[in-house]
Amino acid sequence: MGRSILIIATLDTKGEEALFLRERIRAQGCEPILLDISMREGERSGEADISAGEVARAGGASFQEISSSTDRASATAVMTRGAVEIAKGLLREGKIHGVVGIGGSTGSLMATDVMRALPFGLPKLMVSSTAALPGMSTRYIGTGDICLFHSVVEISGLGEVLRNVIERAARAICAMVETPPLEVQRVEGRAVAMTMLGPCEKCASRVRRGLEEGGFQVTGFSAAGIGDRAMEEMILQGLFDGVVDLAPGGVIEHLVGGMRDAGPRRLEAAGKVGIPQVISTCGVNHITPPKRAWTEEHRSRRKYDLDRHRTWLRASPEELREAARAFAEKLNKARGPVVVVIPLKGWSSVDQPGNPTYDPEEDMVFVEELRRRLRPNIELRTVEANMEDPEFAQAVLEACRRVFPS
Amino acid sequence: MSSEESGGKSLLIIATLDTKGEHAAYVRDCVRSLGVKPILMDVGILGDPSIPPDITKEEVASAAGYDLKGLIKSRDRAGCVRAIAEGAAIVANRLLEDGRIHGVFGMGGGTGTSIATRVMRSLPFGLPKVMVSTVASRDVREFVGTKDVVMFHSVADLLGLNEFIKLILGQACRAVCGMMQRGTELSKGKPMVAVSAYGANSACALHAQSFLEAKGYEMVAFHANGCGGMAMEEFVEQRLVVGVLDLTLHEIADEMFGGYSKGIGPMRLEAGGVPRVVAPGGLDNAAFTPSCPMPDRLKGRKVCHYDVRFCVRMGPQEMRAFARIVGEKLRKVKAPTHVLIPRRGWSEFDREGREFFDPQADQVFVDELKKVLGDAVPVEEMDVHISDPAFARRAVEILDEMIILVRK
Repeated sequence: MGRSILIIATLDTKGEEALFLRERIRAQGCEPILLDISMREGERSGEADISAGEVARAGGASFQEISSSTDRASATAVMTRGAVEIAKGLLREGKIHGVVGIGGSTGSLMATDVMRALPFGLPKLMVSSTAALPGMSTRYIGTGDICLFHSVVEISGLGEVLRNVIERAARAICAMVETPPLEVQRVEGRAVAMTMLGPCEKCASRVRRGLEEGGFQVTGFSAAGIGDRAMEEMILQGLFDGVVDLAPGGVIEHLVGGMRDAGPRRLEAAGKVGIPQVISTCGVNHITPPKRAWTEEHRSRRKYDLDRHRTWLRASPEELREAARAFAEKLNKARGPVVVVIPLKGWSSVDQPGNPTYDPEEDMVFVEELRRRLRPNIELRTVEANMEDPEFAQAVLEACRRVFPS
Repeated sequence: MSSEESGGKSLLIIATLDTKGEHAAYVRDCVRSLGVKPILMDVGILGDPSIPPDITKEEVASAAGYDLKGLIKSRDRAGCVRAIAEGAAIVANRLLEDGRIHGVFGMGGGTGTSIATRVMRSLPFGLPKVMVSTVASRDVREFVGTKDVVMFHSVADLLGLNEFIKLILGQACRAVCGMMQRGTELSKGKPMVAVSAYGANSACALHAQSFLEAKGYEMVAFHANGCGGMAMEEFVEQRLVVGVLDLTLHEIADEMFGGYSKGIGPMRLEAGGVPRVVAPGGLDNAAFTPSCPMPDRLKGRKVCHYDVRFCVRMGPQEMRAFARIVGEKLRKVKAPTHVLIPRRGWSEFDREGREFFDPQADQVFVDELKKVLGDAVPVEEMDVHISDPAFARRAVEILDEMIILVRK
């Protein structure tokens, strides 16, 4: 009991609504802490538990500077930074057990920026009038475990409908904080993260079954550019004891601007934290630039239609070499053990004899460059099989057994 | 939460039990431990359910008149998904009518999310709806649409039951059960009036609010952004409001040119059953952004910039086209309707002295609209700007009269 919930809102424009949310959370027996991220003074500003002035100061400016600023973007950044500092501080001291935000466009952007800076597992609920607008959920949620509540009506004026939405949001967040936290559920030393994609699904489920038989708990992440990024963040949070990175295609996609781009830090977190990693190459020999950005040269490449929306283009030898260099650079920095396992008869179910992009000889460009660049104590194993063959999954499991904690 | 607080409540759980059986079983048990009765509906078409459902996929498909076995044999995957989704929506609505469910819970990847949210969008506003989805962080517009769906991002894949997924599912179960407790039903307080508004026409809505309140109504505002306008129409269909002040038609311009607030459904302006006052707020311009670029044929027009968006003045040709669209729609509406036109501008951008001030262009709209509507709907003109309190006062006055008339 006595759980506290941080409320993030702009009291200058959503004062009445935020105060009602605070009242309803209190009615549920939880302790609300109302944090004001407004950039202007409003009638209700005085009612915050943590004022916009304190937030501005924590962000490195005075409220005077913020409210008189005409540079909205940097004022927003200061307030967001300040709110993150304060929220993290409260969390460290065990003073908050969940976060709820309420807002329109600006309020939702700022509040979810704060939420994404807080650890995975802490309940986060955003009540937003703009949740269903095109592209907004991607910006609000990103890689975070944020729950988005579409208010449908404008957050403006406490009508019956909005009161009902806020009531339900208060009940939801107050119930969410009762969920047993991750630390209680987690089996120490046995948590493994694994990336996967449709074209290596068989390998992924064989590896998962094998690891589970060995007492590991496996969490799968879709390597389509968001799930794999989230995995990197969760590794940095210390939530995993080992990684099976079957589909690190996000690295080459970052180099060429493909749709599975997983950012500049992909393939680095495990090494930084020092946990063991087993790496393979599903999807690394293909790129997926958005069709509207295709050049003539892209059009002339060998391609494979994954489904109606997704076409994989064969990576060029130069791109493969460049990718190998990026892999080596990232893996060479790893503080923990690394094993790379590569199948020689195709890197996914897409790579089948008869498919236009199947070219195991050209795949060797990557393998040889990587071998040349990796530091000597990183093992690179090749297996005479396709990624989806049972013997390849066996080879991955063998590598896991060698480097994962027994 | 004690079982007493949510006592006697049931939750409909929608999942593909061939692939997500493990997860569904976890949710079922979690919900039960929170004192809520789970009702499990199978919408999986690939294989046999791994746990027994309360409502089978065959029952689901046949509710919509499909023979699932035949569809599966024909290997028509899209057809199967359509049949299941259609049937699931019918079954869910029946359960709700019979008072047998008090909330809906879905979980899934792309297909699972598409089926479960299709069901959620068919259910009324106010009924708790929680969706745990691996694709929550993609564009969810088509999933959430105009409804109060709560999207949980699973972050990790829904493959295998691990501590992360259990944590998210646990939070989601608690959220939906919390939302189903006593005291969260949408209560009928004062009669509500729906108002369409947007940034460049917000003063009008604020004035309307105070006039509405003075007459004992409560305002519920909808952001005319392509989604809000349709949500408003659904509120009308659901009879949650007693009247509509449709003061912002900006979406029609954006729809025509692929602008920022495009994507309105065909039903916009067409829901009947309650009186409606219509004004052309924001119809003087279409708004664009880098991701919704201005079409070439509008080059050379007057432009106003604000944040990342900019808007373009509509000319006489568009005004005629808008009048035909609006006129044809209003002729169809089965409810008392009244058009009210402010002659001195329809948004912040076309006030006297601002870039878009052009009453002559606006008059084309008015003349054409009168021609299309004939005697079907009255068109009243006022010599004021739309933000003038007199305009909102008159709009509320007309609506109030129509509402009183309908009640009699």
